[in-house]
Amino acid sequence: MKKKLALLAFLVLSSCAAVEGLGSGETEGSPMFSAVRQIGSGIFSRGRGEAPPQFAATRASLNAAGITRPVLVARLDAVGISVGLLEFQTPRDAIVWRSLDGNTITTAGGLLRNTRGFGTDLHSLETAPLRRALSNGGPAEYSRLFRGLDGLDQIETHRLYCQLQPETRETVDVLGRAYDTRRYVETCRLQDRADPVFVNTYWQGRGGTIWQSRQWAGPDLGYIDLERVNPE
Amino acid sequence: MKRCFRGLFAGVALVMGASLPGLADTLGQRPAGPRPTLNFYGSVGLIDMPSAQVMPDGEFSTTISYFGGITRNTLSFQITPRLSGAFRYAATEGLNLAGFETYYDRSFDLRYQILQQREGGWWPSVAIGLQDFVGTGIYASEYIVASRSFGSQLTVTGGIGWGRLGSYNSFASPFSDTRPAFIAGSPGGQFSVDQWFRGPAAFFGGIEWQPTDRLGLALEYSSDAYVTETTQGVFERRSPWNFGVDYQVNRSLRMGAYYMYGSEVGVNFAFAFNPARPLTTPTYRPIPGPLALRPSRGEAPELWTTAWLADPRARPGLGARLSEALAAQGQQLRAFNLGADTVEIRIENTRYSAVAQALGRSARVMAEVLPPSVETFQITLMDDGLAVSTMTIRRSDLEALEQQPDAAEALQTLVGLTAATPTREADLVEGLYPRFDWSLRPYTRTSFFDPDNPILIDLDLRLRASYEFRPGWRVDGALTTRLAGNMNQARVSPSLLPDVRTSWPRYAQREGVALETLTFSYARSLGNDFYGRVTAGYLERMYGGISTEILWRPVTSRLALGAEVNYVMQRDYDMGFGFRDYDVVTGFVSAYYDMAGGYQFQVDAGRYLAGDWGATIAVDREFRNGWSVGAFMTLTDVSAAEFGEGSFDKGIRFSIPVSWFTGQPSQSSVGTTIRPVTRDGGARVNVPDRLYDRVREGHLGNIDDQWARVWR
Repeated sequence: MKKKLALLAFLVLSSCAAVEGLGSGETEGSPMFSAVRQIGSGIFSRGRGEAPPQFAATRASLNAAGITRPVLVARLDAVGISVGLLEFQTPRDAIVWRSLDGNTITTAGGLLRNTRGFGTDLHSLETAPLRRALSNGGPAEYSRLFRGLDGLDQIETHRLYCQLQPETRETVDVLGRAYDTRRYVETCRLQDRADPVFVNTYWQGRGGTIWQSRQWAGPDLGYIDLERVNPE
Repeated sequence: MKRCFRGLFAGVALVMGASLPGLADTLGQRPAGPRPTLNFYGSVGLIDMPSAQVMPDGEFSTTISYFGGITRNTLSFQITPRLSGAFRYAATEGLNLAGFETYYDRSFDLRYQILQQREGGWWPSVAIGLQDFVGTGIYASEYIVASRSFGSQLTVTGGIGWGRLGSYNSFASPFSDTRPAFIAGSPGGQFSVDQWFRGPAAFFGGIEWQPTDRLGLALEYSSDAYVTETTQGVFERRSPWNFGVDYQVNRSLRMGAYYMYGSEVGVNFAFAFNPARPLTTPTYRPIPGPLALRPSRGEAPELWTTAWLADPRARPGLGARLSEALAAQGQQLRAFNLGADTVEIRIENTRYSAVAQALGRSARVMAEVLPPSVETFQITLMDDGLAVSTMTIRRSDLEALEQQPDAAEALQTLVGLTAATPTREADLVEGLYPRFDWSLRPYTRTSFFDPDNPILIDLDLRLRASYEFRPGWRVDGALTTRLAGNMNQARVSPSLLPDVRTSWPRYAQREGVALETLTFSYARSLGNDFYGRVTAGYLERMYGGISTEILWRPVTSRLALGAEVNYVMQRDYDMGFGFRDYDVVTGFVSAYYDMAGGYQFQVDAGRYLAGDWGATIAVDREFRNGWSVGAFMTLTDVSAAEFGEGSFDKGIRFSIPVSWFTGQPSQSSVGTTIRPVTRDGGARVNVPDRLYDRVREGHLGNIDDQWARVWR
């Protein structure tokens, strides 16, 4: 158990309101909850003033810790965070990934939909049109709806006009495991504006799984690099 | 912890340093065109002259400017995207009018942008303005001005001014030759309709160039001859030309230095804030965890049993877990009613300024704690024991929507909101009542514009206590003591009316511990959208008595009607238990209207403290995050002469939520009411806990406005 705890420490995300992050919404009986709770108390007693912990687990260490469910590794350069998140819930078409201090990232088909707890979060970005385009595999044009909370806490909606371009086949390495993928580049703009709002990159495997991606999470968080780890 | 602070500093640096004014939208895009700047009058303009630009909607600015012995402090507000208002307190050294060595003056401005230059359009922006239109008139002037921007750096402005702005090199009197002169020492305060756009008119204008994001250069031709000032030798006006440079230090602060009127160096500091540009980005911490999902009924039918309801341990057990989990979210559980399919909780929100957020957090707690068979959640909001409204929400809707991109909008269409029924005795949390609560906090009191001490401020300590017998039945009290300050130096000004408010300095002179309030009150919903309140005791620092109020407001209505009758006696100056020999029956009928866009209108008509009859009109603009800026005026049957300086009661008020500064959830706010003068006409007793704000808080308009926070 101790080893497991020590290892899971690597999965931790830095943040100020660490332990409170385990707010409401847990399913008390779930093994995940008790694991997260126990781990949380062990981790946040670490010395003060340390640099934010960086994700440093290996496939072997995940195995040794008994982690069998998928892990999402997220790197947010803008805020200097790298963290592993565990698959926590699968409501409808989405997956909610959760870090040990309770922050979450929600994806649908590997596409970023929202973040919670990382600062000025991504409120929501529509994923369905892109998901359809990716499953068709070819170049595509479509629109995605971005929703953000403005300074007055009201939802501001922007329609982004996007182009998806399939590019070369590439082999990506995710924690020592190689995947044969096709790289897709997605460029999204506001109407009548030349500069793109963002340019995302997706590496999609043969079965349709997005193994690696670089996705925009709003003007404050910037780009998040995501890797999906399927432990053996 | 260090890391947290570093993060905080980084955040502050981001707010204060990196980005510049103009409101970026949620995609980080900024509006095009030159940034508007505030002039020496705190209005959008060049240096001493106005321009036709506008500040971003909702911008709340304060400027301090100085040149040639004239200091002007101006508070200005962009009331709507095109309408702005300002209140100014100016001091002119050596302007010996009506026996003052330094002449202090208060004035109000209003301006409206009639035309707005469009991107790619040909027409300039055009604005019309009234300066000092309700003060003593020393700055009185009117203008029509046009400004045209070229690209994002250059703006050219030209206009025609009357009054002060028509006093130098005037070309004609287009509308009327006669304009009443400024009379020093007059009570002022009247709307000076008879002088608007009358008398000689003159041209003014100038050029602004902003070569970088931060730097600006301005050159202007002033049509203000400063007749009164130069006659008295305040400064020498040698030239109509002013020029200088300004620098945008950060998002909030701009500084400018100028050479003015061929003889003086002038400086201008402008601090601009915007409700939509919080000083610290809200973190919503602790963040809510993902909503607890129920196991599927098909896979685990045994968990969906309703047998738990019959278990005698269910109520105490679930009650304790609900209480604890709600408390972690800043919600106090007061009562609850368990059913196999429907559960109602009654809560007091003590943390979030947005009711929708309190409701959302409470719904998450219910999803976490309650057995799967419970499908319908009812959450009733209470305000100091007064049950206001009940939100009904289906648990399966919460489960289905939480992670959807349109979660907030979709949920909004699915929740029901009804007026709350009075709380049932059987539903109360066991052992909760009677409740005792207390707090000890410092606070400040201020008074402005005393000729001897323009700012009077006291730092006081307040011990507050409350005792709630049953929901809605309360005793509240507060003791205060002065820690420091100069408010005791305030002067009592003479009055022709009963000294119902002008005697306030006598109360401020009290030393030691004072009884600020001590009231017994009862408030409840009366059914059929009516609410009632009775309060008796020491209502405020200066008055005690009995106050009764009734309010009608349907939960989905934008209109509310109310009536209030008070019998009050003036308290002894020592703020003990005794009363002076003045009592009066006051009362009002009130209409409140919650307009779309956050504008709140209120009209109260009735009898005021000095026995005068009249009406008060108030307009406030309330932003969704709790910022509020407003103005009010009262006209009664007291004549301007009887009223004294200012002619009638009026003022402005603002309130800023603490969370706007800190980014942390809080229901506290800071703010003040500024009256140019406090007189006895149109004065009202301050009854604590009036019904309207308490009831409106939990009603549809307000909840809808803040709905985006329901999942946060």
